[in-house]
Amino acid sequence: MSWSKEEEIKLRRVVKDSGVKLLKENLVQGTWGNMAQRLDKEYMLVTPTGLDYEALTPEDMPVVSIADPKIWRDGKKPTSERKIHAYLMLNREEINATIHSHPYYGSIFASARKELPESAMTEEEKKLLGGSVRVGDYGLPGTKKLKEGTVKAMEGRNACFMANHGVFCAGRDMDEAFEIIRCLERVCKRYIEQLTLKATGEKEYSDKLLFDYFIAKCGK
Amino acid sequence: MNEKLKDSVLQYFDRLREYGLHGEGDSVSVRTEEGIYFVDNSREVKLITPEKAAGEGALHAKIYAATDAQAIVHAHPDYVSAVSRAGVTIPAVIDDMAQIVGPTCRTVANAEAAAKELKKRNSCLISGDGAVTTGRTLNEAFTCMMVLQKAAICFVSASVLGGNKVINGFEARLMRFVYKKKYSKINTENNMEREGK
Repeated sequence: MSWSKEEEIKLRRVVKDSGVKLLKENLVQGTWGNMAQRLDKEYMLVTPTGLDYEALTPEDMPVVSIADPKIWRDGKKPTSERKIHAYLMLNREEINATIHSHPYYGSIFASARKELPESAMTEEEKKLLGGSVRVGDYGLPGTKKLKEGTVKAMEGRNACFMANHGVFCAGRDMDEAFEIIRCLERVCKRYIEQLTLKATGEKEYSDKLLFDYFIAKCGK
Repeated sequence: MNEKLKDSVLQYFDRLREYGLHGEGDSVSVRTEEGIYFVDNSREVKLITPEKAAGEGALHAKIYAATDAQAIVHAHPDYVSAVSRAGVTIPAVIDDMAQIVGPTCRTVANAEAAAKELKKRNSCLISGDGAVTTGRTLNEAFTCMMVLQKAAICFVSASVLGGNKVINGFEARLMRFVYKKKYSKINTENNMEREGK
């Protein structure tokens, strides 16, 4: 253990607070998201399974081995998706914080398995996301295929979509990871709106415009 | 009337608005031995008996008569309503949907068809009239509506992205099976107690 007790207490608080912030900004629904915070080269804190962030206390966070995420201690039972967080941290030394969630607009791209192109981003957004946002291969929850697909899609990037599942974001610290997921959701939303305008030839976006287009295109 | 259960029905009705799932003509109910505890826009929880049920209440009564559902949510979230107007089936576009809603959610013509459809499923869309979700608890029916709206967001919005890549039927059914087996029993028992049943 190469970190101090004070540091650990601080990081536990960071995870808890970011979780509440995710919930408040509608970037995660209930218990359907999870986060990890690196402690050192070998260990990370993760969020527990099935507990919402309002109810969660900093002490509930278990410490999980990055090399072998089956091993954990302290806190409550860790999220079943910890393998993905661990595998990314193992492969990416510069990454210290990760967030996995299923926000609305990111989920659209995940369900269409469509890459978010750089052309949809401003320079600043491109820098933050690390370039286009790719889609990791589809795999059932908890499988090696999903884990490896996610890490591959993250190569050289700070965010990716997980096919038919959600999004994954990573940063040098939790604040940055949070900025990334927030930015990703914003760019996805804007891009869908732009595509709707392009498809309909209209000038001003409204949900109704999208609904009418959908009904005309896909309705019976 | 059981006060705790009455409060729970109203609480879940109000939660539709809190979660942005509300629309015109929403209603929530639970089945009890006394009859059906039913609430709509009036926010007054009424006890209705199947014989005297009319309008929206009759839809709920028909579903309870045809199925073993214990709770019903009939709501009109915006994206869900768009699909119900299009009259099509939402396929398994995301994992949550496969697990919690099921591999597909179809649009049916009316209340009678909905009661029939819900014998083997816990959700359907009614043509031009939002969606109905059922559950063993209010929480289960509500969660199903929440996930259905997310699936509808993915389904509708992907129309400008070239469409969805749908999860294959076998994997969707497998996820549904695992989810039901793993999570639902404990959750059901906890939620029944919380809701006052």
